[in-house]
Amino acid sequence: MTETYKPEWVPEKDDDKFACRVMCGVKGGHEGMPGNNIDHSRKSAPVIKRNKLTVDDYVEGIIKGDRMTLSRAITLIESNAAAHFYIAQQVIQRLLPYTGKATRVGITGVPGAGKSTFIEALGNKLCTEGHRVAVLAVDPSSTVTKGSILGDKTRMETLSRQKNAFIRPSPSGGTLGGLTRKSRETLLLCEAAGYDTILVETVGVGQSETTVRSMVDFFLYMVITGAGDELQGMKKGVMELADAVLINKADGDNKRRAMVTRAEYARILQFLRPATEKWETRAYTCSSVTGTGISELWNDVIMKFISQGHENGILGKRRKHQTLSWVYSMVEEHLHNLFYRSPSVLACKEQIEIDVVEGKLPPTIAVQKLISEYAKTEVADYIKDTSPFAIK
Amino acid sequence: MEEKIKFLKEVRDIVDKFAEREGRRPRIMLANFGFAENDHAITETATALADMGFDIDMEPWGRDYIDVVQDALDNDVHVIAVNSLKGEYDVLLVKLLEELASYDREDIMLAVSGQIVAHNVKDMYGRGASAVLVNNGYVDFAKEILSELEIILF
Repeated sequence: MTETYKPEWVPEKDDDKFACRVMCGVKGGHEGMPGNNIDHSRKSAPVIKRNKLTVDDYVEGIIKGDRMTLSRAITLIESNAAAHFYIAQQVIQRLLPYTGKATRVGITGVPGAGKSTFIEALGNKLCTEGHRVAVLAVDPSSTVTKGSILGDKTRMETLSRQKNAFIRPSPSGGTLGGLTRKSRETLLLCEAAGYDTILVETVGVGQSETTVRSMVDFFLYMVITGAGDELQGMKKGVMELADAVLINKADGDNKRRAMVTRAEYARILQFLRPATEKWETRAYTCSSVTGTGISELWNDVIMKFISQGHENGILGKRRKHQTLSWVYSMVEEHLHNLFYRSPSVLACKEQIEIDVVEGKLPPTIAVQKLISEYAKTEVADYIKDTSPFAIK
Repeated sequence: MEEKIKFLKEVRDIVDKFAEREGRRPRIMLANFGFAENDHAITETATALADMGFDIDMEPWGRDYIDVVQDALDNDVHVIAVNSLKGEYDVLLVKLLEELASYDREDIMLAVSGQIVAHNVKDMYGRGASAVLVNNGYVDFAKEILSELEIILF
C-alpha cells in the first residue's frame, strides 16, 4: 500500500469533511519517465588509458603521413601546458627540414561570406585532381566561458569524406587576429605530413585581422554584396593586404549584385598599392554552390601567382620575412610565459589584484609593481622547466 | 536561478582545472545520427556545453559511424556524443566501439546525449557509454564526462 496524505489546502479544523487524499508519485525512473534516481554505478564501458607518444613516434608518424599521429601532434602543439611545450618544440625542430613544399593559401572574410563553403568546393576540385589538401579552420572561442562551437566541418561534408583531405577545426583560444596561437606550427606539421596544398581559414573577421598574412603565400579576401560603399574598402587594414578579392555567392538572384560589387571593388583596388610586388590585386566572382569561377580562380589566379612568385623570387623572399616574424611572435609568447610563470610575480599577484579591485592601488602603479617584481626574478632559476630554448 | 548559476560556476571551475592540466579544454564531438539536419536538441546541447567551457565539434548530419570515427580522430576529440532520434543507440554504440578499437583508440570516450527513455539508461552504460544525458541535466552530464576523463587521461 502506497502512502497517501491530505492535500495542504485542507483546513485543519475541517479535516474530516474532506475525503480527498493525494497519493505519492512513483519516484522517477519508471517507464517513459526519466527520474533522478538512476543508478550510474554499473558501467561496463572499457576504461582504457590514453597511450603516450614520444618525440620519435610523432616524427616518424608524421613523416609517414599517418593522419592519427598528425592530429595528435596538432593537439600537442596547441596545448597550453608547460609539460607539452618542450616536446612540441622538439617535434617541430625535427620536422622543419620536411616543410616548405606546399602552397599556402589564407582565406579570410566577414562572417557568412562563404569561406567554408568555398573551401568545400575548391578542396573537392583539388582532391579529384590528385592533390593532398589540408584545411585549418579556426572558429572563435568565447571570451566569457572560454568554450567554443566548431562548425566548419558541417559545411565541408563531402570534402571531409575525401581520403586526400585533412580538415582540422581549432578554437581560437582567445587569440586576436583571426587564428589560433599556434596556427603557423600546425601548418608546418601538415606540410611535413605530405599535404601539398594548405588552406588556412580564419574566423569571420572585421577590418583588421591580418595575422594570417604573415604565414601564407596567397591571401584571399572574401566579401559579400551590399556591404557598404567605396570608403569601406579604402580603409587601411585587410584590403590592402589581399592578393585577390573574391565575391562569393554569385548565383541566382544575387548574380547581378555580385557583378556590381565586383566592379566597385575593382574601382577601389585601382587606388591601392598591391600587396605583392609585380602582382595586380583584382576582384573576382565565383559561386561555391554551382561551381562557376572556382577552377578559373585556382588555375588562372592562384597558380599563376605562385609560379610567377617562384620565378621572380618574390615568394622566397616573402617566406624568409615570414620566418623572421615567426621568431618575434615566439619571442612575444615566450616573454608572456616568463612573466606569468615567474614565481615572484605569482607570489605578489594576488595581493596586487585585490588592492586594485578595492581601489587602494591605481592601475598604473600596479603595473610598475608587477614589472619590478618580475625584474627581480632570477630568470635562470625557473627557465629550465618552462623553456625549450634554455642553454644546457 | 541562483542555485543554477552556482552549479554552472562549479562546473566551469572543474573545466578550468582540467584545461590547465591537459593543456586544452575538454573537446566533445556531437554526432547527429537523427532524421533532421538542424536538430533543435543538438543546438541546445552544444550551447549548454559550450557555456560550461567545453570545445564543441559539430559533426555534419547524416554520417555513418565510420565517418564519425574518422572525424573524431582527425579532430582528436576526447568524447564522441551520440545523438539520434531514431533510438538506435544500442547498435551505434557497439559499432562505434568496434571502429575505435580497430584504430586502437578506445581511450576516446562515448556518451549519449540524445533523448532516451529512462529505463534504457542502464542499458546504455552496459553497451559502452560512459556518460548519459538524462532529463536535460547538462550539469550532471558535464560532471560525469569530466570525472570519467580524469580516469582515462591522467
